[in-house]
Amino acid sequence: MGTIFSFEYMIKSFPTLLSMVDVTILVTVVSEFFAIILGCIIALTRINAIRLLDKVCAVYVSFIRGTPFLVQLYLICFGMPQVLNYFGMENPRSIPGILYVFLVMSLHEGGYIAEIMRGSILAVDKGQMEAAKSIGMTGYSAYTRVVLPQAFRMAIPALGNNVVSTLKSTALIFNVGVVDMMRRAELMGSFSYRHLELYIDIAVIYICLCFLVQLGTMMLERCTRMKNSTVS
Amino acid sequence: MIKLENFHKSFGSTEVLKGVSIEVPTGSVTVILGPSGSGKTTLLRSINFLEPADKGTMILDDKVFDMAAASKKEILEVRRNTAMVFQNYNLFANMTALENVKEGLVLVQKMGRYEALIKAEYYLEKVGMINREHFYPVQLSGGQQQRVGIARALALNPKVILFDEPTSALDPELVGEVLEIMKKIAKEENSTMIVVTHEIGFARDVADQVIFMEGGVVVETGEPRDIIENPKEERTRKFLARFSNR
Repeated sequence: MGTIFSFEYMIKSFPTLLSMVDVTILVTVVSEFFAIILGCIIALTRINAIRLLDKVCAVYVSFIRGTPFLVQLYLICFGMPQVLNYFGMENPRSIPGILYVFLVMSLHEGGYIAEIMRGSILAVDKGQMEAAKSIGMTGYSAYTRVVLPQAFRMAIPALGNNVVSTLKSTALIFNVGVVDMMRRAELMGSFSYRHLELYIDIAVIYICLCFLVQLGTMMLERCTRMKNSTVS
Repeated sequence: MIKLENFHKSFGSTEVLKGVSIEVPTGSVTVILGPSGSGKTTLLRSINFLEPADKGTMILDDKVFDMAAASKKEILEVRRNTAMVFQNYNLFANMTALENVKEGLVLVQKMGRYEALIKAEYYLEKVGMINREHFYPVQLSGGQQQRVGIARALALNPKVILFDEPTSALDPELVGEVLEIMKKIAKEENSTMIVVTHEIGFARDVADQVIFMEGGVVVETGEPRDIIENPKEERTRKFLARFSNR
């Protein structure tokens, strides 16, 4: 081992690691998409106190919030094939690992988004729902046209936070065999023994990604607020 | 015609409506007066099931509704034949004035986009808000918001429009503009209106029928001149005395 830190190696490895960023982005976008849908469904179920289902949702949310993400990841990725096998599926391991990851992350983030959306929906003035009902809208229309658009606007900062946390959680998915930046860095490190440089690269990539998300959140907030500001 | 028979409603152990019956002929204006807590707002809100009554029958034109056992479909039917103007305006905050009026036409009445636009603009013109049609509710004054609220209700051509203290949340100098619009539509649109208000002057000038409520019951019903200038009941007299002293 020569130098303690090889700046050259760090620069040289950067493009290789960066080329794996698509996995990270894909997992984040796909799971966040399903998580928002799931979160809204859970939030509405709980707010409308739909019999039995709201209890199930409450238990679900507390399970998600009460167990570490890594445990949930292992439960689904290693545990579910066993269950599928029992129910007669030939070779559940042949399902690509990334599909399991989509599932876990959607379920995980969905639990958190449920609480974000529940808070935002409850924060929308009750009169909005009443006005929608008074003109004869169905419950579904009232939510999709009036209540949810307003709830989402209030939820933007919190949802932005959630995207950032999803993004960072993807650093764990290499544990179940999905090849992403982390896995690549691990492999490269086992040859070069230069972990420091590689993980600095990864930290830089994550910082940049999170910065972009924050920027996006801010812009989204600004352009939805525009509608509400006083201009004449 | 809209007719309510024997409306009962309790919140917990408090009985708010104790068997209220009223009848409002088509095209007429009925004003409900009464002190706070008399149940007048609850009565109005039970008509379109925002506060479902525990007991009571409603006849809307020739259809009969059992208020305590109405199906989802019946509730929707009642709501689609009535409209409400709220104390706090309750305009959809995520829509412009125009979109607020258009929304029910397009979404509920399945009207074509263009047709709905024409109709919405017609009613915004009527309430004097056409020059603010692309403004969002937060950009409008209370009086302007309430005028849009009235246009939203009118545009649906409901069998009856329910006004729930439409001027109570307004600054005093804005009350006039809203009352003017209400007078105008009472005259021009020939709408059936039920108005809960504290504006005695409006009741005197516009109403065809005045109902005085207190403690969850109808105390007195009659023509505005009789009720306001010549009330028979002691309770009505007491209530009105406070207004004439002002």
